[in-house]
Order: sequence, then C-alpha cells, then structure tokens
Amino acid sequence: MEFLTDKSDLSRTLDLVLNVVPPKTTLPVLSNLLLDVKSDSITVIATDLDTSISTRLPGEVKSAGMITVPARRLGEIVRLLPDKPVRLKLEDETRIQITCGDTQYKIHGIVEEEFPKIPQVQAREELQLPANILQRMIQKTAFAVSKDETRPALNGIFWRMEPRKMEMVATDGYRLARMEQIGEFPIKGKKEFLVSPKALAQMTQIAADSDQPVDIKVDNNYLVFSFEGTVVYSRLLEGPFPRYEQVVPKDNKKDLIVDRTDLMQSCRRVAILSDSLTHQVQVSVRKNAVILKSNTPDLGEATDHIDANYSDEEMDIGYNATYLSDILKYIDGDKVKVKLDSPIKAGILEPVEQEKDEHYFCLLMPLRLAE
Amino acid sequence: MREKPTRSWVMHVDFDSFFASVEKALNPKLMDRPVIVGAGVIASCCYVARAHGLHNGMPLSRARRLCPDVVILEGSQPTYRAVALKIFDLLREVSPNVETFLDDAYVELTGTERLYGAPIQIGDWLRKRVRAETGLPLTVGIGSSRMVARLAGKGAKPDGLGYVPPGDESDFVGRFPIRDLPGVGFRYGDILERLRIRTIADLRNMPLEALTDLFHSHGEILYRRCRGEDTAVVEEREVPKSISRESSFHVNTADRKEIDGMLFYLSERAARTLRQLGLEARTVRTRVRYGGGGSEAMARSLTVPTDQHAPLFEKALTILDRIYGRREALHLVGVTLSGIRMANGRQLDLLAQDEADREEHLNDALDEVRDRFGYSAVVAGKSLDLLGKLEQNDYGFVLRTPSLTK
Repeated sequence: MEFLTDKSDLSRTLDLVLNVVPPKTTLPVLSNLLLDVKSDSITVIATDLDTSISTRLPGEVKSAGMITVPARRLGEIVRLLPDKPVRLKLEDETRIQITCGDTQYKIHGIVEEEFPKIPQVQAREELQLPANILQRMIQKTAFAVSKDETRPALNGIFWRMEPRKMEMVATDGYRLARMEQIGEFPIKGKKEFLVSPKALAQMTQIAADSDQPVDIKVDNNYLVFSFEGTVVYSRLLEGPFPRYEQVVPKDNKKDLIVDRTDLMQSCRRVAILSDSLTHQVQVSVRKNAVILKSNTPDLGEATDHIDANYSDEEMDIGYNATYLSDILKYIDGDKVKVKLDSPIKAGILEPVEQEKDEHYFCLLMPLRLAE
Repeated sequence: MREKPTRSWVMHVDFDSFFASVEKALNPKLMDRPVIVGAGVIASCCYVARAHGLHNGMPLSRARRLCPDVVILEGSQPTYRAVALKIFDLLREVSPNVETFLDDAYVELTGTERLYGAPIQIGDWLRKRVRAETGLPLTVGIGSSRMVARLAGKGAKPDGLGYVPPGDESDFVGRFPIRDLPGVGFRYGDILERLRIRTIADLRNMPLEALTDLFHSHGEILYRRCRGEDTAVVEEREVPKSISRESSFHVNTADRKEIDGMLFYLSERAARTLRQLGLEARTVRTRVRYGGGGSEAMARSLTVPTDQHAPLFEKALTILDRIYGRREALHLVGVTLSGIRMANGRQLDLLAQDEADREEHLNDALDEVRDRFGYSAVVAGKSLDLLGKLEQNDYGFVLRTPSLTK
C-alpha cells in the first residue's frame, strides 16, 4: 500500500473523522483509522461502533492495500508537517512510513482484519433533504439532549418525518426544544427515529451551510447520511422517546413579551452571583417589567431590571440561568414570547415571529423557590 | 473601615458528657449517680460513671458488669437538640460568629473585648449563665486560635475554664500528646509514634521538608500547628460537610437481604436528617468493612441534589453492588452523603414530576408519622428485612454503632 496526498487534504480529512474516534475504548483498534486504498480511491474510515464515518481522500495511488493507523497520533503528526506532499507507505505487515519533505516517521498500525466492518444498510427509506435545513433543525435542538446516561431514551434527538412536515425534538427532562419544518418530503406515511447527536453533529460539520441535498437512507437499525463522498452511519438509539406532546402545556395563557437580547444579557449579569450548582435566578414578572435576582449566601446578591410587555398576574419563578440563556441563544428574532402559567409549571419560549415554514419552541421547567 | 483588632481570641465551648448531663439536670436525684445514655453501646457517659472505668462506645452489657448500679437511659434526641440550641443562642449573645457542632462550639471573640470585657470574664459569665439557665456544666477554653482554645479546654475538663495567655501558646501546646494535635488522626498518629514523636513539642524537632515528604501539603499545616500557630477561622457553619450513617452488624453477615436492608435503613435515616435540617445532598458514598478486615468505599454523584430517599438509596445500592466484591461476610456497612447544600431551588422535571411529587408527599407523610409516634412507627421498603434481626425502640432499630442514635 502506498499513496501520495497533500498535507492540507490529509489534514482536512482527519479533522472530519477524528471526532468519531472514541477518546477511551476497550477495543484498541477503535483508536485507529482504517485506510482503504484501492487502485482508484483512498478511503479513510473511523468508528466507535455506534457512529461510523467514511470519507474520500484525494491523492495518487501507487499500490493498493489496507491498514489501520493510530488516529490521534497521525493527527498530531500531520498537524506539524510542512505544507508539502505526504507519502504514506506500508513497509511490512503493520509498519507505516510517513514521508513529507525531509521529515520521516515510522509508526505501527494494526492489521485491517481487526477493524469492525462498516454496516451494510438495506434502505427501507431513501430521501434527500437540503443540508442547510437539516443543519438548522439539528442546531436548534441538539443543545437540549440529555447527557445523563441513566436516561438513555433522552440521549438522542427524536426525529419524526411526515410527507408534509418534519420535526426534531430533544429534552433532558428540564428543558425541551422542538423544531418543526413545513414542506414537501418524499416520505410514505410517518417515520420516527431516535438519533445520536454525535452523528448529527458530524453531518452538520460535513455539509456546513451548503444548500446541496444530503442523501439519507434508513433501515431498522441504521441511519446513513451521504454528502459529497462522505458517509456517516449512525446506529439508531433504542428509546422509546417519551410522549413529549403530553408535557407541552396547553393552558399557558399569560404572555410575557420581552427583548431577547435584554433578557439574555440580564440573565447572564445576574447569574454571576447565582449558586454554582443550581444556577438559580429568580425571575419576577411584573406589570410591563421583569426583575431578575440572584442571591447566594457566600457570594452576595444581584438584581437587574428590564422592560417588558406583560399585563397578567404577577409571579416569581426560579430558573436555571444557564438553561434560560441557552434557550435564548437559539431563539431567532429580536423579541421572545414566554407563555407562563404558574411558578411550578413549564414555561414555553418562542420567537414572536416564526421564520417562514417553521415552528420552533422550547420548554423550560422552573426551579422550585423555597417558601 | 474598622480598626484592625490587635489580638485575636477564640473560645471553645464543650458540653461536658452532654446527654448524661442533660438527664441529670432534668432529674436532680441522679446528680451523684453513675449515669449513661445509649442503646446497645454507651453514647454519653457522666464523670461519675467514668470513674468506674466506663467510656463512650462500650457495650451496655459490659458497662453493667463493671458498674452494677449504673443508671442506663435511652435518651431523647429532641430534648438534647433543644438544649444545645438554647446554649448556642446564649453564645450568640457574646459574639455573632459562632460555629456550632453537636455538643461543642467555637466562638470568635476577637474584637468583643470593648463590649464585653476580657475573654476570661466572658468565659466566666457564660459558664454561670448556662448553669443558671440549663443546669449544665460547661468547659470553656480560651486562646488565640481554635486549636489553642480547644486544647485549653481539654486541660480544664470537666466543668472548668482553661486560658492560655498570649505568647504562651507554643509552650502550652507542646505538653499535649501528639494525637491531640488537630489534623493528626489515627493514621498520622501511628506514623509519628513509630518515629518516636510522642508529644506535640517532639514534632517541632522535625524539619519542614521531612514533614512535607511524609504528609505532603498537610505537613506544612502540622509544622505550624505544633508551634501553636493555627489560622483556621471560626465559621458560622450551618451546613454540615457530610452526613454519615454507618453500623456494624450484630453478627457478621453475607446475607444480601440483611445488608441491603441495613443500607436502606441507614440511607433513610440520613435522608431524613437532610430534610430535618432543610438540606439536600448530591454525592453518595457507600462503605463496607469485611469481617476479616479490609474495607472498600466508593462515591458517586447524582445529576441533581436531593433530600429524597429513593434516588439516594438507589445510588448507594449501585455502589454496594460494585464494591462488595469478595465472597465474605460483612462486618459493617455505611452511607455518607456529601455535596450538601441548603435545599433551595430544586430543578423540577418535565417528564417525571408527578413521580417526584408522589415520592415527596410520601416522605413528608412518613416524617410526620415518625415525628408523632417515633421512628419505628413505620418500617419501610427493604428495611423490612431487618425485622426480627434487630431490636427496635422508639428511635428505630437498635444498631451497634453509637453514632446512629444521634
């Protein structure tokens, strides 16, 4: 196996695949990348068994072959190489020689037989979606995915496809983000999956800001994205995702309208003196005003006052400041509408003006303030 | 700006054989009799009983053998707590900065001289006042730091007042056995005694480098403390750092039902203490000690702090499963809650709030029943497996470890 490629191409390819390489693993070969060199193509593959990625590396093949190389080590090496053509050559069974200008490395790989096989996906469903729409839906929901491994059903983004609308929902039990896109989608009936945010993040990185279509294939176990020579395979999560519709409040009739930037900045200002664990801020909703307060015995207290549009019952609600400012970051537009009911019920936050063909909202569960 | 006080003063207040003294104050007929409080083992032992060789932690059966006319009382935690709070209130009359523990307290006296007179006068006044209002003896130690104050009191026990004048700290501290130096526990004590260091003064012969080699950063603290220097401040600490409940088994056991039952019971008690103090905890540590020696422990944190028993017990049990590796009977099991904070601002859950509310209502109801009818009025969950294996009284199961009755 031997090929020539550019340092910049190699570097870009590694950036793409390294995110998939698991930081710690009990299976050593997963720390490696598979180089699959055929007479007319060079393919680089990484996997953590749940998510796999395969991408083409431009270059000139001298002789075909396969080997796995230590991924992070190779990344470190390439980062520091001069901007010159790089030659990778398999010297014997597992030793790879890397040559670039006057620099030479010899590193040990693992034979390719040990590398897990890329899943064979028999598409049950195939469709194409514009990359930028997909990217937007993912970005607006992924932040709410739970990192708590004891709640595995919440560790993914719930994705529901229908012929005329598509929605993505994520929640960690404390907040929830839901994005709905209206359109014409080439789907028969209703399809639902629970997808790992890692694979979706990978997808958005590959198709960054492009309006080209992404090919999507789904079977019972895998979701596969393909975009311009790069393929991401993602094992579907088990779920089931909770029936989230049941927790979306229907009786939140007290509308607070406030400048989004004002509220976000106020929240951040006051959060400096909030408890380091709960990040509790007290949001006091008054007639045409919101007062934010934090008070932590060891630290001190902070108060901030912003104008708002509100004429309903006054109340004091506790929120986690990090959750609140996170949500405000993802809502578009100058004004945000907060639909409230009581200090122990979820609030609904949404842009006052929704973008065309979409409907976005977040739920935020309060912190119970001490009496 | 306030004027910087020229001299710092700390007073340490110790309630002499607290539970036994409260019982004597409530029933003066017991005044000259040997009185002990405890269930299973001695939790508190008066000085008359100590003269017969009795001491805290001794099994009651042995106490009866050594001192046949000893008066054994089960004690009443709510009463002791009420008396302690009353004394703490009196302490707060002389200084706003009082750090309280179960049966002792530190009082920051720095800067109070102009208001209340010399520290010795304050100490005298306080002892008389506590005696008049509660009938309890009190030992007071006064010195320039927490450590000196504590040791000053130690030398004056019982019912006395110890005072170390400024400048005498080093000489005074030096006379005490090395194990009395704060920060020298069992392990460090053993190491130091093997090095033939018997008194605090002996430790001064060790160069700083040798101490830091032995004890790392802690070495420097010991180096300063053995010279009578202590910079720890008096903090009004209402939130304990941890709440620990441990018990040995009456007979070593490998029966998972009994072990799980004990863990359930201990974590239930710890969670109830959290609720009584208005606190919540985030980290759970489970510890086991094997019958043949050796112990294992592991701590894990919850995603959100809680004062509810179910999540704390679930975590404690998961840890037990991981650390109980040997096929050997256990001598002891225990649970320690840490990461403790005031219960304020509990994050509500979108998906599981109904369940959390139910659990909370259940625990509130259990607390209420137990407040009225005693802890044993309700035996819940896995601790049912302890029925018939352990005796019960109003305070719950009678365990072997004294700290549990507190």
